[in-house]
Amino acid sequence: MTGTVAALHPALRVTDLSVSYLTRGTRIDAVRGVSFDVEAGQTIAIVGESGSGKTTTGQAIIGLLAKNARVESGKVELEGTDILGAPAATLGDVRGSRIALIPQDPTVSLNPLRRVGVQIAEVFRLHGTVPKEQWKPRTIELLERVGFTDARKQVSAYPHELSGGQRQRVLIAIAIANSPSVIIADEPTSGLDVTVQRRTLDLLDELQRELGTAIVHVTHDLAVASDRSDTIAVLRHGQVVEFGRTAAVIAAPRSDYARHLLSSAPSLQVSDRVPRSDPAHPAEIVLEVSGLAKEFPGHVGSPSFLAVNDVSFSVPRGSTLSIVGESGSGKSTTARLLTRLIQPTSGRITLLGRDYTEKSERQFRHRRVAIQVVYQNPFASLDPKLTVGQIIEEPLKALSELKRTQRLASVSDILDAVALPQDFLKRPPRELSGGQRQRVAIARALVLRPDVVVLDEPISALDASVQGQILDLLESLQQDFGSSYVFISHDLAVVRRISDHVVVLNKGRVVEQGPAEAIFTRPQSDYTRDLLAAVPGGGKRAAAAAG
Amino acid sequence: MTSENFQLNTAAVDGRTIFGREAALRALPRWSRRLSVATAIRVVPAIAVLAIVLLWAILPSLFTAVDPNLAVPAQKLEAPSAAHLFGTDYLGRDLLSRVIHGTRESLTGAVIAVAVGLVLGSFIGLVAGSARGITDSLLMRLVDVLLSIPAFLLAVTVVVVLGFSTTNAAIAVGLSSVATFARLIRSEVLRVSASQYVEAAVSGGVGYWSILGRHILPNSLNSALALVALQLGMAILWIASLSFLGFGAQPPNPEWGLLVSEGRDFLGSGFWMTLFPGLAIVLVVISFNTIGHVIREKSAQ
Repeated sequence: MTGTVAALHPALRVTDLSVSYLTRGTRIDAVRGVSFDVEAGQTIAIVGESGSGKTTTGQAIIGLLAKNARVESGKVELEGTDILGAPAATLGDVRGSRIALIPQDPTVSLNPLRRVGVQIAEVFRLHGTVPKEQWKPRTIELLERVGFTDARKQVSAYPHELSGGQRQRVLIAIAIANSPSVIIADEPTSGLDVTVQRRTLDLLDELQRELGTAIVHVTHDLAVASDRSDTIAVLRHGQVVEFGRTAAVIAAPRSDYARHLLSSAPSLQVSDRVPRSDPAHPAEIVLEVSGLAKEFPGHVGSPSFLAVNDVSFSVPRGSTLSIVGESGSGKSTTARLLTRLIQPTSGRITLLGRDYTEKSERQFRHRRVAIQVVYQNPFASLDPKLTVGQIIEEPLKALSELKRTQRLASVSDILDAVALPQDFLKRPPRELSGGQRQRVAIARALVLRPDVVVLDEPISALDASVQGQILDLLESLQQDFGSSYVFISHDLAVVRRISDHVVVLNKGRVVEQGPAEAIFTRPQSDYTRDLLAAVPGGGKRAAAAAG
Repeated sequence: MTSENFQLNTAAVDGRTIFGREAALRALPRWSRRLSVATAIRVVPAIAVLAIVLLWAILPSLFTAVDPNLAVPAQKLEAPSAAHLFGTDYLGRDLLSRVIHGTRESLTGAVIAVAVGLVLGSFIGLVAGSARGITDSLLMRLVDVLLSIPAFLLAVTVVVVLGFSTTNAAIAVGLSSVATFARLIRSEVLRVSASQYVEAAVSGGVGYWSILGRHILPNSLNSALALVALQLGMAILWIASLSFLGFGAQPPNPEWGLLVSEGRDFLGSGFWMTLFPGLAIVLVVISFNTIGHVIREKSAQ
């Protein structure tokens, strides 16, 4: 592309794009009349919840729609040429050279049987842009550019030898190999830890400045969008409901939906939590953990693995203690230890003043009345064969002395408490949405009125607008029932909103713990500071542009 | 998950798969999942065939007034005609009537066989999958031994021990499919036990046996349903094979395998004696297989 042409046309112009899917004879309009421009060197964030059509938009632009999808109308102009209706051969030439994709899931997007260097060089081979003898040095150069420190060695690594963040870097290297004018990044960091997410997005920003690439960043995360884009298009039911400069959209959204999204995205909110604990009258400690450790035996030839190492904390009645950390920090193992789904290697767990570390499951079972769990994934934690009523009733049946009519009354009360209609009782979980299912899971955990509820990432599998609602529900239920929460999360923004006390875990050890406000305003350890700095939100790019 | 189990399963019984079951399992889902019309085209004829055959089994006299054992020597080996739609056999018996009256024997045999396999196999699988440890190892090695013996040989051996009859042939076929069911149910039990809703039930204080009966067994039997349909087809074929070899039903019983066997000597002069009973077997087996595949695809979705 010559300079004059590039100046005449935006790097990417999408006009009136409509895409529909045909499933079982019914037509579903996934994208309806979406239009936007992206100039070279600019980023547009396509934001929406699941089912909003954001991923379909991305796929349509790069011509990778599913087989049952059909483009109903519209144009996708790449530097002035329409590529939407282009024949497969032309599209093959364009893809990977002038427009490239960074896919969502780095764990499945690389071929596990081929070395990463070969997979990068494939782009050179396909497009003949680099002579064969240059493949290896160019590949190493690319890996260095995306931040591999030992690129010469890592070029011959297999994907499984790399971490999630490194794999995503390889995918970025593949995307930028031929210096494309446009990159479609489909949730490029959604599976990554916050610190890795920040480094990956920083890298993408840096490469964009260097190469002048236009980026279409598809994301569900409004906070990420606010940091990493120049313009935002908010999609809902396949239509653009809000479009504008990022700073303007974040500061003053015009549509109700965008306002709703913004207000429910926890990361963009300020905590208004009033601390529950009163230093003058210390509450009763309901759960106390000291020196907790869990060692998993290693496989043949590898050493055993200390997942949790000397963790101690205590939870006062009615308060929320959060355990935060990245993947592999041991936070989920801690949750499983607390609920005694696994046995600790050493250390003590005291529930309501009674040590149950040494007790057998038979002895402990009736004590489970006092400690209940809500799991991360409401699609996996509800038995598909039971009805909602049966699911909620189950702990009552197992652990209470109540008669059937009393149980049913309890179930119906708790259903009201989690704001679900009574007619859900007879329905199977598959007919419920993710948020509704999580309400059922919360109802099941609270129906016994436990003293402690362990919440293992209870909102991270849900859409942003639903996340806010579930958090609100959890907070109000805590006020009504007086349960203590142990809240496991990787999301510091959420943690800040609902915790009284925070425990920061890294590699199985407690890095830092203290009152929530202190952790967030005066973090003592480098690790906590790093975590805090990585939290997206606040419109970094807009701020940088203004300053 | 289900498809994985099935592939394990078909791989395990490789060499005795009939009608290239494994190949069919792999090839079918791709095109049928997208088009529900295509699924309907497969399912409707299969259900129709099975419905007719079921009626034959329950009320054979509704479809034919002729006594299946009535020999009319004057009408020996008559080709199919308006009077005898399927022709007559070497003793002058009406073949249509014999095929219809033989249905009950064949279907009952298949049901007995699958019931034996399902009940014993599920029990072994459930015990192995939930007890783990030594019990699991012992039971699964036993299953390995069973699987290492060619199943048909096993069935023949069992029927020789039990004595020749359709019921015994059915029990023999059922016993030789126990291992297949045990493997499937065990892997399903392992999968379901690891699921979060089972963990949630443990946290909810639900006892071991309740979890087994309320969560693990119902969810494990899901994929066994598809295998039941496949095994019904297979059992019909094997029971017919045993009868053909003389180990099952005894003359003058009109069991399908026996009919084919009787027609064998008259292939040149009366091909219809083998063709029609053979066709009945093939259609019923294909119908059961089709329904098995569709159930499996639906549960995978």
